[in-house]
Amino acid sequence: MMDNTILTVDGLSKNFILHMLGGEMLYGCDNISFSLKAGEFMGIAGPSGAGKSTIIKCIYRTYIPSAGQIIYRTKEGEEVNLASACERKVLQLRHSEISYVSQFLKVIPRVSSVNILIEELQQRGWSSGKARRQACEFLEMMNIAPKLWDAFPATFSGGEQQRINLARALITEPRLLLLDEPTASLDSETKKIVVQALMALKKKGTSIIGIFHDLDSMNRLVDRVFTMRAGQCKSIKRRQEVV
Amino acid sequence: MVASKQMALTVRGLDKIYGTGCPQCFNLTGPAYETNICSECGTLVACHDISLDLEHGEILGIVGESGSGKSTLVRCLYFDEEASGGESYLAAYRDGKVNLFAETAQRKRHIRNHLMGMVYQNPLLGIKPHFTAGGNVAEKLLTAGFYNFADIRSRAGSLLSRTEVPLARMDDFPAHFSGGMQQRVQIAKALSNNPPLLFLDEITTGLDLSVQARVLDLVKEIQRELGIAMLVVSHDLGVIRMLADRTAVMKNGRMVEIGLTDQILEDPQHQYTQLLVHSML
Repeated sequence: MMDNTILTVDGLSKNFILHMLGGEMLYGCDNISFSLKAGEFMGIAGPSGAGKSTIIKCIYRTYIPSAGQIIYRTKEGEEVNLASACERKVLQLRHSEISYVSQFLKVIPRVSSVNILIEELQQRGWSSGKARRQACEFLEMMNIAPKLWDAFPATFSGGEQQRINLARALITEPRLLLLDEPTASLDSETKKIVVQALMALKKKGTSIIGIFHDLDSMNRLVDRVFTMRAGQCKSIKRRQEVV
Repeated sequence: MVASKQMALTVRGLDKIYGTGCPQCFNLTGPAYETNICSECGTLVACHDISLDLEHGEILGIVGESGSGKSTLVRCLYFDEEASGGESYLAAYRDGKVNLFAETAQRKRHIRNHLMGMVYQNPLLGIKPHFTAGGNVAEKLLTAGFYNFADIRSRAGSLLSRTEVPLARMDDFPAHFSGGMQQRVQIAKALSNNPPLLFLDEITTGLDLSVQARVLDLVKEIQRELGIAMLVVSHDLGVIRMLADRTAVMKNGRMVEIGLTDQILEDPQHQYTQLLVHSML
């Protein structure tokens, strides 16, 4: 592995076996290979059902890969194959280095937005006062109105929930961030805020893989674009070539 | 066998049968036969060959349909029921070197009182309705070796306020409490001896939604602040998703799958787990 490579995906395939349909097989992605350097942002593009989310979920180990390797280099320089690492190792990395943001906010009901962020930091050993200050700073950066800070996100608008969701991942400053359509259904003002927040995180050295439908936001952020079609890699291009 | 140091609880090959048993019992039951009753001798195989590890501060979820053996498993581990076979090791007890199932009844009582907590689905199994709320917590503290009245009183008060039971009702009888408040008294009682291991059996079933949310948040808070390892039994996958890092799936007395909770919910491998997840609202 090259010196500043943080992630190497090699021959990754994922099939789903549906027992209810008599063992029918669905193909998620097939023989995917790429690598990612520290501080690099790679976009994944392609039509719905092309297998974009499958790749991200395999890296996060929400899906168990059917074949291939996903070698992640930890902060300590240890190489971990996320495709086969034991569950506790995966959990440990999720708590310390790898974050995933889906399109949906899943939180315990009746926990306020500020407390959702505070809890992320407290889990990582922050004192409550320091965690609160940082949480407020992030809510402000995400342009969440202060009167919503102590409210419960269940009734927030889709855009507000999505920003809370992102803030929750960004506040921990992960080394590897996996994003599944972070700008879906956001208005252009809010998109701008999200793009800025992601740029700031990238500058701090976080490696990011993001799925976008919104090519405009993607082109402002990414170094490379990985284009998929029907579960396979169609092309990997530098940003300029795509535009 | 010596349990690993990191593990709060180690269970190996736990069996529990109700009946006389025959050599065919384990071969004729399980998910493949869709039953846990032996067709040869009629014995009920509630749990067979259950093995699991629980790390300090970890929450392990156990899901499965009614009658799959989830509650029996927890009851065996808490000694409410006597396991028919297998081993169980607790890091906090003799460095995890002694099989708890082989200990005397007196020792088991000691382990239960000092090192474990249990919260039942039915609060009245865990608390005495004709003792006051404070008295219920005090009872557990007394068995765990607290004898100073002022200490007991103040600890009971702080535990009850922690679980949001109004202090003004500390000297009232839980028989007059709502189900949700009884449940919170039960949680306060279970936490009173500061156990390294807590069993939670369907604790949100039957609670109204607002109380359920509070109980879930409380469980998370306890995990975060006290680092207690927990085994959470529920048939509500929403509850499991909120609480558990890892989840085990049971069916007909067998553990059919164990994995990261999001993996169990989004990429279920076993036929039964797929059915369960696809039935989720």
